[in-house]
Amino acid sequence: MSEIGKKIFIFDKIRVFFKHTDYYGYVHPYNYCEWTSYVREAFFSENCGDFKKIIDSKVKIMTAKIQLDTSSDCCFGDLVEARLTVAKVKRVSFDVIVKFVNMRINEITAETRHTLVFVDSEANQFTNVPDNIKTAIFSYQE
Amino acid sequence: MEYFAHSQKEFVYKYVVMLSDTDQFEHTSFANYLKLMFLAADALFVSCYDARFLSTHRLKLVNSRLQFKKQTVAGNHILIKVNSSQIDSSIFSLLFTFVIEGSGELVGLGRQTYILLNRGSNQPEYLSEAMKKLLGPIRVEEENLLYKY
Repeated sequence: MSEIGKKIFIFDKIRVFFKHTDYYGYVHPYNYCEWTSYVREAFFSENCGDFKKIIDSKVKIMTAKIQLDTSSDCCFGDLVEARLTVAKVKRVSFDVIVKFVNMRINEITAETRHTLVFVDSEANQFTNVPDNIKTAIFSYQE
Repeated sequence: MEYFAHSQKEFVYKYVVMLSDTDQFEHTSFANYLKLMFLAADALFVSCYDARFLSTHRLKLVNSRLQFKKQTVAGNHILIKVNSSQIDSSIFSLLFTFVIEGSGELVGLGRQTYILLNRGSNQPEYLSEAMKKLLGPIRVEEENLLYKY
């Protein structure tokens, strides 16, 4: 197992198209939330071997809260790199932090932080973070 | 505009959850709630958005947060109640209370902070009288509210 704080998951497949821009030609902040879900799902798919098995099981992953902070702007054609880390790992939940870096100017353009909780859908109560997810996130903790 | 039971004014935006809003778990995906906050904010300010305003001003999101209390599914009628707080010369916050119409069940609580910028210089601009007229009547003191947004 790797050390805590040594790894950052990089998702480098985001490119700004017209669909992502607002009236003023900047990326609409809504997109950062949508991209956050892409990044976390890519992370789970690549790092939790049987992630599909988890999502088909009685354990459901729920987003309990999300925060978005924006700074500089992105425009059409910009490449945006998403950098995922994890924090506040508890028995039934953890936080996912995604920093979006505009590669044109090499600046953080936005940051999201969301809390995932795990629920046993049959018992209708919180349940432990599944072991393979816990193992996957261990070395990505801030 | 509608009124709270305790005479608190609020702006209300109504949305019916569509199948296209839901994911394979049959619930509205979290990013869509953020979209609803932007829709409700746009609906609040749409009367200010004339060509002159849009050519000289930009309303920029500073931050946004949202906590979820209950999942929604296709067919749910959601009322998004909007209040304002922390109104400053160029910055203000909007508070969003998502409830299911009829039952009144709480779906989520959101908060967004915006800044009004000059479109050319990107410098803060004073809120226009038209915006103040929309924000003033729905203003609340957050410390006096039942919920923490």
